[in-house]
Amino acid sequence: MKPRKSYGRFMTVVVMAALLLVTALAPGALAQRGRPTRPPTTPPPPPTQPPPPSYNAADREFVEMMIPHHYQALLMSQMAPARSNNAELRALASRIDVEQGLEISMMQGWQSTNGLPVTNAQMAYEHMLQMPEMLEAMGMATPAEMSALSASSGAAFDRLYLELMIEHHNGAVDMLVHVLSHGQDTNLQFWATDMLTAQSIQIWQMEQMLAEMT
Amino acid sequence: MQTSMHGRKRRPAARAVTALVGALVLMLGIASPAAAQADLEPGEIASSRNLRLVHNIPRTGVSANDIHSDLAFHGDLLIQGTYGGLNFYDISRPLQPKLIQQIACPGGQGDPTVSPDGTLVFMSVDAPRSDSSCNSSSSSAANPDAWEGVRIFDISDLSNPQYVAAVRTDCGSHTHTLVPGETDDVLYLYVSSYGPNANFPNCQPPHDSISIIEVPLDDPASASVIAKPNLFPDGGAPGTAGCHDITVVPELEIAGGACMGEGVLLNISDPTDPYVIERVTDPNFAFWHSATFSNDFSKVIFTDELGGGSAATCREDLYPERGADAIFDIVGEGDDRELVFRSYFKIPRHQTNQENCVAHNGSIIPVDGRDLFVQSWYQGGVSVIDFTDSDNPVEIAWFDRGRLQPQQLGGSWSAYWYNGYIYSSDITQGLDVLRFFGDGDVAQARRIELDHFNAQTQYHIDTNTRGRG
Repeated sequence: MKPRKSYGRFMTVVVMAALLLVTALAPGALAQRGRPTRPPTTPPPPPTQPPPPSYNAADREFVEMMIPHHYQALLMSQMAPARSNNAELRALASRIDVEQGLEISMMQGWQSTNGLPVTNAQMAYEHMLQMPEMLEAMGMATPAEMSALSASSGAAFDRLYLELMIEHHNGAVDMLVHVLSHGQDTNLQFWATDMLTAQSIQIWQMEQMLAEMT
Repeated sequence: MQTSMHGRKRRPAARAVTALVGALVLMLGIASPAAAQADLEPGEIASSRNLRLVHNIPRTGVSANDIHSDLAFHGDLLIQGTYGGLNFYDISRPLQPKLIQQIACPGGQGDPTVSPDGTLVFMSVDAPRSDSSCNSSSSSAANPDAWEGVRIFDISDLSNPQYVAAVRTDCGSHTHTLVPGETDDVLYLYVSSYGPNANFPNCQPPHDSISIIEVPLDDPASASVIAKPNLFPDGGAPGTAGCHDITVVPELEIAGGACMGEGVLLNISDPTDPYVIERVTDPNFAFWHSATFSNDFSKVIFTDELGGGSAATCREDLYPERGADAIFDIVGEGDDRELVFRSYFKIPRHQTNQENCVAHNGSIIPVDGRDLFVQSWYQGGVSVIDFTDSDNPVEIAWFDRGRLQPQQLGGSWSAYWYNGYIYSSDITQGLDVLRFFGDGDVAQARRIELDHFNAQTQYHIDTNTRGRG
């Protein structure tokens, strides 16, 4: 499934040639003699250069999609403190809030470092809410489901939160597997593995919690 | 010598940074920090008075654009891993280290260890490659023919390093730990990796295991995986699937494991058959990342790598117990040892939202009668803490740079004490050499010499320097 791209509000992305971040240099050369460095007596602040562009379309689309996807997880999780009486669920929601909030910033930072337009999480999310097929493909809650979640409380909230978030995480796992299989950006590959680990942990936790409730 | 615990040289107005923060921290429904504190301008360096940068070697040569990662030491040789290979420095004169050799062999993260006799260097590769050669290109975990694992180089003649073996491991090698064998002619590598998924042919679930590579020292080319012990037969804590990093204590035949969802102690009396003897979880921990024991092995510091090293977790009013160190006392003996939580530590200096920052790799500074730990915090810099009182860890020294410009991931990946100096491997700045000053026992520490050092293979360091020249 390839999510449709219809973010007309974003500028045309200047897609730089996707280069590998690290490529073997001289073919056949294993070792190179190091050049002696002239030791500075006081280290001047060295000019920092960003690495050459290293992403491909799969990387770029993953980030564009995952930012609003995470944003919904934040909105859902931020409902928990006022609606849930379950300490374990509130702790999990707080964890998701913290981690995915940080990850949104990380991903926006990645876009910025790579010279890509930075996705506005809220705007992209609201745009996505109007595309039911995309929501379904990504395991996201529909506007009706979000309203139902907001209107619920106590055990009913807990159950609905878990059901929606499990679906949400499963959608994320699909997207992560996709970028791990088709992307090439070094940093994203490592992040995606970490996110895959964290979200798989949470799916397991949530299924346990749900099983205990029924 | 005066020590200052936390201080800022200047506190410039946060004007431009606030604007940047406003642009980047977008309407998350969480209140952004009212004013992002910019403690240092880009390019500025600051430190406490008792920790000084004495030398920097920028990235250069074949790894000039690669992320620089972890360190290992043998005699006067410093080995630095990068995502593009290995750097070798002569540190016989620590104030003027020299880059003397580089190996170009891409595949992150480049976690290195060195054999006790100094002839072999091991390098972790956790990025699926087209093949095991140094000419490989990037591949994907979905490719059944992709290679990731541990590379073995013979550096007996450093002017002509030899790539002698490539050992593939399931899910690659994110980190590895050198474990001495029961005889001198063999050693083992505990390979830690994670991220299993049904779609990845060489990284299938459940992967609650580590891979153990046996390296015959007279024939390293024949190194191979001899065991894949399942450390968590019951599945472990939620989603624990293997470990992130393991630190072994050969003298006590135990190890500490940071295994994403939990921290563990292991019995390694048979190094080929480790097993878990104690497990702890913590609701504040997102990602159990590494373990370091105190010099007398009565305590262990676990680190939480919230955000994977790429997130700005050192923000002013947020998360003091997340992305931090957790200090545990070890009580009991043998397989009945238990981990008792004591306290958290996180650096008190807040970093900007553009600076990735979280607890990362460090090592013990051997000072008689005290528990000191030097540690990297990415763009949070380098920090030295005194955790002699497990309940009240205190920072006693620090070093920091202003945020990188343009914004990018960076900072100190590892900071270790070795033979009187602190060496910090910086993701974008290359290699920093720092001098830690103090009087009394701290000054004595500068005279202690190790003959080699791998951070995850801990030995008790004799702090009695009386009589040494």
